[in-house]
Amino acid sequence: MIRKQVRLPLSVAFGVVLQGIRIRLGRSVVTMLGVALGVAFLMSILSANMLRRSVSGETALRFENQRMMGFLKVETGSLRDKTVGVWQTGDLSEIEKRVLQSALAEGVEKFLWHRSAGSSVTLARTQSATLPELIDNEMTLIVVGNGQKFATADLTNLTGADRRKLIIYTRKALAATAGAPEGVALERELRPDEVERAEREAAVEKVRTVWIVVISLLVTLIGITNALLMSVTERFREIGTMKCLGALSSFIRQIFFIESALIGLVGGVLGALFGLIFSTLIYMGTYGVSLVVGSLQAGPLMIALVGCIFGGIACSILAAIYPATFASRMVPATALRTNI
Amino acid sequence: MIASETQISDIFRAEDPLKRKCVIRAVDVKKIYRTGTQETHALRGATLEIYKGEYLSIMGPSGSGKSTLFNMIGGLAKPTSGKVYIDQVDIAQLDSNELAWLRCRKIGYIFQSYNLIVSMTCLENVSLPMSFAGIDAEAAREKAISILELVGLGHRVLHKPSELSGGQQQRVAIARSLANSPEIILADEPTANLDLRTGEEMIELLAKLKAELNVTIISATHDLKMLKRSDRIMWIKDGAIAKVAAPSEIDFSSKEFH
Repeated sequence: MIRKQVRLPLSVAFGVVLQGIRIRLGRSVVTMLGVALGVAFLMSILSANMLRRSVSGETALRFENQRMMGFLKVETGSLRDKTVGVWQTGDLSEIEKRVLQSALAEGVEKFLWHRSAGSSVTLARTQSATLPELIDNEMTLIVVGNGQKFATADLTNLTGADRRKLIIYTRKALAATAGAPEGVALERELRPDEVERAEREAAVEKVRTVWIVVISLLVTLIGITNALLMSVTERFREIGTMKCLGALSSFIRQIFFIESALIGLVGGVLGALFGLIFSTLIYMGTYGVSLVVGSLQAGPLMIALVGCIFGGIACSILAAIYPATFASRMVPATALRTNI
Repeated sequence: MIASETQISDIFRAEDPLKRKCVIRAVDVKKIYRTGTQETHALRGATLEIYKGEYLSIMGPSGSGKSTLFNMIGGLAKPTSGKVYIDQVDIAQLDSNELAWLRCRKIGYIFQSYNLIVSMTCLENVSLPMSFAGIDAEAAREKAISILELVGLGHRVLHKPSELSGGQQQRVAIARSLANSPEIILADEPTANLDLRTGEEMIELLAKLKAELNVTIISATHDLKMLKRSDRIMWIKDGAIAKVAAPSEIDFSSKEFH
């Protein structure tokens, strides 16, 4: 005689949610802003952290580039309209690319490029050449790359080079290779105390980053939970009414989960974008536009952005679990009596 | 000798009060609310039977346990002790799913504070119980419109509750309670916020439902016109049933009613 209540399709709950959001737009926006604020906080901390690290990396790189260019020009004199040989012995590091670019900017006519190992590099005014073409002349030769295949027969070619030939190594390790002809190494070797200090700073930095991210995650979680808890609690009467009309507990839960996921999605996207833009602008104001733009790394930032959005959605759903379950289990009479 | 047709139908129609079908039965229902260390005895043991097709009015001052009794017999809360049977089924034995079905199909609730869903139009409010019952949207919409026309709100179907007067909201609430053609209607002061004429119309509507569809109507009210139309009047005092009487046995001109 008494049967089970039918389960409604998810689309019904979705419709109820959309309508509720539309009508309570003001309230939903406030809740959403609560989520957005939390996510924006997390995102700005994360992106500021990333920016700070890459800005300091970029600063160091620029400084090192300047120093190496200074050393290079002491040896070669002006680079204007000169043809320079480049022997690529492996993958190039960032600083090697920078130095070669700077040389082009100084007015090098062209690079005669021989690649014996490593992935190819796209640079302007470059012409590929064979090794003998690079060796048998007075042209300056820059040896770049990590030199995986350096200590092979190629080396013997080099030793037979013209006596007046200037050989520049970007890396100390290559210059020190047994049998390598005498040349100038641009790389600077750190003193042991400098190395130690850098390691210590890296360790401190790591702890600080983890600490700040954990704290901001907590702040975000608490902010979002608070916003959603409030939005569910103030609707106990409505829940009671729906239960009187025959709504299943699962339907009530669905409504709140869908609503909080939607709020989390919108709040997460807005918050993440706002946080990113905010911290970028702050850093641009502090360090200058060109340095920040130069050091922006799209990959990690995108990961942080997507992570923050999903974090916002996950936090919202997590935060809705308790109030939604509590509300769906409420005795209708109790839910109806609640006044907030 | 074979009895004539009229005689047979007379025999079948003759109502034996002892054999009337009992739709709601409460046995020694007690309800205690606990707030901290304080215990409030809202109901101190109420036993009653409500018959099918009956119109029962419940009277009692606020705080007498009237609402609590309402919640118990409507399956909206579980008693601390005692049993409530709706259609011979002990509601304590039902799981939440079956309770939802019971609330959806068997009982229509009319609340004093309307409890309409503010985010929905009148039409959606009335069709909501039907969609909970699994009726498809188009059929629910048509039925909702015809019920809203029945309560005189045919021209307001797409309005939000906030755009309506108190009386109109109450009529939407009444329309909603009728959505799934319930066997029992539980009404808490259904005419309290209606003007005289609409109040009378609603009383007529409820009386018609009772007469034509044999719907059981239980209402808490102090409205004399409603009390006079009811079959029995029940007084609640201090969490217990003080008196049950038929309107014919009561002197409505006494001080109690004014």
